Amino acid sequence: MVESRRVAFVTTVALLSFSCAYAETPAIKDCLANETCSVQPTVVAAAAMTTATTPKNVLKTTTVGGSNPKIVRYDVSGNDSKGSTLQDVVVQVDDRNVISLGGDKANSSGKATSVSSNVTVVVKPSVGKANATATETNLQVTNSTNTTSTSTTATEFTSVSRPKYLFENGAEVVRFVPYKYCHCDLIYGSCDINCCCDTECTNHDLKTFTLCPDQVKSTLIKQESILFDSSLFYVVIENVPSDYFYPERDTIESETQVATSLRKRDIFTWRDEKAISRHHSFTSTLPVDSSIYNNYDLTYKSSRWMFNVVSDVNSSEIKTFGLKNSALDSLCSVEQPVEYLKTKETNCKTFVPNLTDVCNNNSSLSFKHYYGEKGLFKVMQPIYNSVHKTEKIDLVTIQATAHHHCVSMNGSLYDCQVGKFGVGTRGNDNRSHYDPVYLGGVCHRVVDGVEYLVTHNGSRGVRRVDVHFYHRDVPDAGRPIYLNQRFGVRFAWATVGSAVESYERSGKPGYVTGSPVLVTMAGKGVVKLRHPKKMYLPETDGYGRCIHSTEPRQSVNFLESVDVQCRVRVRRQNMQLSKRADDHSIPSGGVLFADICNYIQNETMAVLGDYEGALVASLGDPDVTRWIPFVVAKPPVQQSLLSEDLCPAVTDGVHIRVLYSHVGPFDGPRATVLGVLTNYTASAVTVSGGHRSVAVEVPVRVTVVYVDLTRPPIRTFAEPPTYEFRLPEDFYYPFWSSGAARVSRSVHKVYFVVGLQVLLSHLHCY
Amino acid sequence: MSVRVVYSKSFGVKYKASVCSKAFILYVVITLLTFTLPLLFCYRSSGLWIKYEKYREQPMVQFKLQYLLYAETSDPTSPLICGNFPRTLKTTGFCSTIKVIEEDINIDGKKEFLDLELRLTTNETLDVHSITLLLIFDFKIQDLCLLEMESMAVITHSSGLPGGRLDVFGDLNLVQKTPLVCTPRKPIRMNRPILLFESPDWLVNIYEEYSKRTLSTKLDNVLDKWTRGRPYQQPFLIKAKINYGSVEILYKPKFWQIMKWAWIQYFSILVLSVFIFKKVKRFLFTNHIVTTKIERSM
Repeated sequence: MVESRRVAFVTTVALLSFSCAYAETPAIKDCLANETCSVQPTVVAAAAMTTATTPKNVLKTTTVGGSNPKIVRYDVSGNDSKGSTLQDVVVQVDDRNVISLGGDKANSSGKATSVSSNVTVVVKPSVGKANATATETNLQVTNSTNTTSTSTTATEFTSVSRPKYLFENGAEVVRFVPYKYCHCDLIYGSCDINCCCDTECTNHDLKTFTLCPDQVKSTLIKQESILFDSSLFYVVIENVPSDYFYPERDTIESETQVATSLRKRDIFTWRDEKAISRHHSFTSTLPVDSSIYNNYDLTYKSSRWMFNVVSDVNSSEIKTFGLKNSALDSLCSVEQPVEYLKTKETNCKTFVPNLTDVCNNNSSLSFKHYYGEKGLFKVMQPIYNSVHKTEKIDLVTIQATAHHHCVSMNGSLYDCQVGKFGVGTRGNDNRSHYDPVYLGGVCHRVVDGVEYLVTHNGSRGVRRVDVHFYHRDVPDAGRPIYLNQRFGVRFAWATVGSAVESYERSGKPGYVTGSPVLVTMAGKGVVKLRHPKKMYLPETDGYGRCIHSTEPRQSVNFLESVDVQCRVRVRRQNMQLSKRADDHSIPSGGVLFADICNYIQNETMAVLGDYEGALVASLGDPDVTRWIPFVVAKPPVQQSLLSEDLCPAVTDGVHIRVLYSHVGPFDGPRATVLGVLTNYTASAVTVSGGHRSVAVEVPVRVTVVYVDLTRPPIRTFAEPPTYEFRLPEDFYYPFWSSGAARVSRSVHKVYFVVGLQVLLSHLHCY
Repeated sequence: MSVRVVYSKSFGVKYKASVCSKAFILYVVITLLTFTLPLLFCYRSSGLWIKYEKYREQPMVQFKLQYLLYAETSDPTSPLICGNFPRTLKTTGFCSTIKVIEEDINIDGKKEFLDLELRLTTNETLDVHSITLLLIFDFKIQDLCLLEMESMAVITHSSGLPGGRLDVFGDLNLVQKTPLVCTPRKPIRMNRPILLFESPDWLVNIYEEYSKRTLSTKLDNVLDKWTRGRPYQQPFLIKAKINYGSVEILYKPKFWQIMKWAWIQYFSILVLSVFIFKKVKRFLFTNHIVTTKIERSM
């Protein structure tokens, strides 16, 4: 027991001495720097750290031990910051270490900060040595020149060399505390309030101070310096403060130094468009305007290769070619620059507060908004200089050709020239025919879509620009509306002749997800080359009606399950008119009700699509595909008419099930369509009320579902090689006679099938 | 002449004591301590018996093509309801088109994401202000636990601005209230239909029933964009992309798994304990602190 207790004691001593050693290092530094510190004085000081509240104390010390090591007992009178009385700080002094033992029990076992404020022991043991370790109380003794103590027993608590402002009246004492770096001295030439290290503060100023907030700073324990957080031990003071510091770095004076110092760092900077473009252009010193023009190269990504000439006669203003696009909301608010040879499509909306006001040629509904005054574009083209026999790439002005396509309100095309609306004073001008005109509650020729078709020669530049304007008629809703507008740029090779009708593949060879499923009609003559078509889905308008439009409709795309519902509107007038046109034998008044039903049926089938006898391409590439016939299931045709105004079975739905499978190599399988099952449904439709109702609406539905029939992949192994061993002929010489040897020549061929084969086939089985 | 060890043999020393002696009691106590102390230590430091364990797996998710859209418009009297569900609820809206792509990119039989495009056809005078979209999934876990359930993801968005389009991106995540009790043969099935419209307050009822479930899915990591303004005569467009990423599954470990982890912990401390108590015993008996009879054997 005695042994173990001693061990524990030694441990405590060691730990505490470790903590005490802290105070030495900065003091040495100070001494060396100042050259003023005495070599001789030996100070032992124990005090409360909170100098602001503790009055000057002279500690009574008693030497307990003999010569070496000595145990010095200090009686510290006064209170520390927490109000607990310091009693019996026992310090054991040997040559190097001063160990404080005990102290206030409550404090030493309390929080780390309170401990640190209690015991700060400074020792200067060796006398008269050159490398003497002059020590001082933590941040209190600035210069040990005036330290009065001479032996280990004499202790000065606050020995300040230049005690400029020192107040000892009462408990509220604010002392001047000089630091090397005074952190709170932020105002030059003036006294900072509550900054006790500010040399500009006078005697009077300090009287107003209530506390010195920065003084506690040095006693703060860094989180990382706490070795363990048991209630037994703490690391009281930073023992080696010089170990924790940010090292100096060289100053950076050249660009290469910047590059090397930033090499492995993630530095995020503000995006600078000019800095990026500097990479391309040679002259960065050019003014902004000219640098734009110097920035043309016809690289694939280059965005500035085409310019709009939005010109007056006098000053031709030029801006980068871009498509209108929506930024955050859906309105056309930004211009998206077009990249060379990159097809781009944008879609945005124009807010129309009042259709009558904007239905003119100045608004964004007019095609002139997108075309410029003369339709001029500046594009990149190589220019051959015949004098110098050189070629340089430069901007060339090109006159674009405008094409107009007009669509009426019911979705049918009409010739914009023929349907002249509001041709008045400017009737002579050709172009004004395409301006939007408000007439009879409808704004005619509103720009619905703009498509730029750029004919190019690859790196030889742009040859021709065609602008297609798609106009539509918009009825006045009498309230603010959003109008959708789409813009697009397509690129076409100038060299390719349009003799061969080109079509898009849906993947090569397997189907790509999202590309249309290719079908064709079973023709009798052509078997080899079929022109693939898409399976179109009915389109709905804003009211849920099916639209008959010639516009690009939505198609059945691979792996896209679809459910489309809309209402087919069959006008009663049409029924009768068509009837009259077909049959003249029947009297004009009477139309057979079965024919009306047939007519409705034809209308719905036109929307749904008739897949009788259609073939589907198994692969996305029609050249290599197998054409698989559709499996069509139709409901039985009911001929019997039950009542006078009820069509018993009108086809009103088609449910398509596409069966597909992934086939081929594991790394790149082909999506293959195995078959298509189309299931038509029919239901009864009431054609009510004789001649009173104007139209019949039949709800139709098209659904598409994909079924994956992919089998789990199979791994096949190559046949293991057959090893052939050939023994020398006379290997078995004494055992076989010469006659038998000739026979055994073939026997010697030992076919050796490795056990691996057996193993592999075994594995393969499972 | 150097001497080498050419053969070695150990002497055994036996310390013997009678059953009623101090030494024997000490021996018993030490032996008990040797084995119970590690157990106590393991147990008191918590985590000796593992109560639950987790692993990650990509579930087999499939959109059941069942959905319900509830849109509130500027006309408070006519909220729009449409969708594809058991026809016990009257639809007032008209979802003209729904397009669904579920793709299995790496062809492992498990779908990676759902791409959904939904068009809600409304009267053009109505402004859409709020969208609630319930999507019903078939959710299967197959790896360690077997689980089949019908689950739901809810997309809700409302805005003061009249909208024309809603884009939603999110991950379908598993929500577990209790660890699964896995059985290798019998799967846990929760195939009660979610979309039930029996009560008059059916949407609240659906939510309430769903939140009661111990196993459910929800949309996590949701990013959405509400686009203001519906183009003239165009339907309201909802686009959603939902990723079926791998989910963390909490399960109750089996007996032998519990025992394995307990044994690993126990054994590692037992080794130390045996070592220490061996030293203690050596100290006690070789220093003759307790009386024993020594018997040497060759």
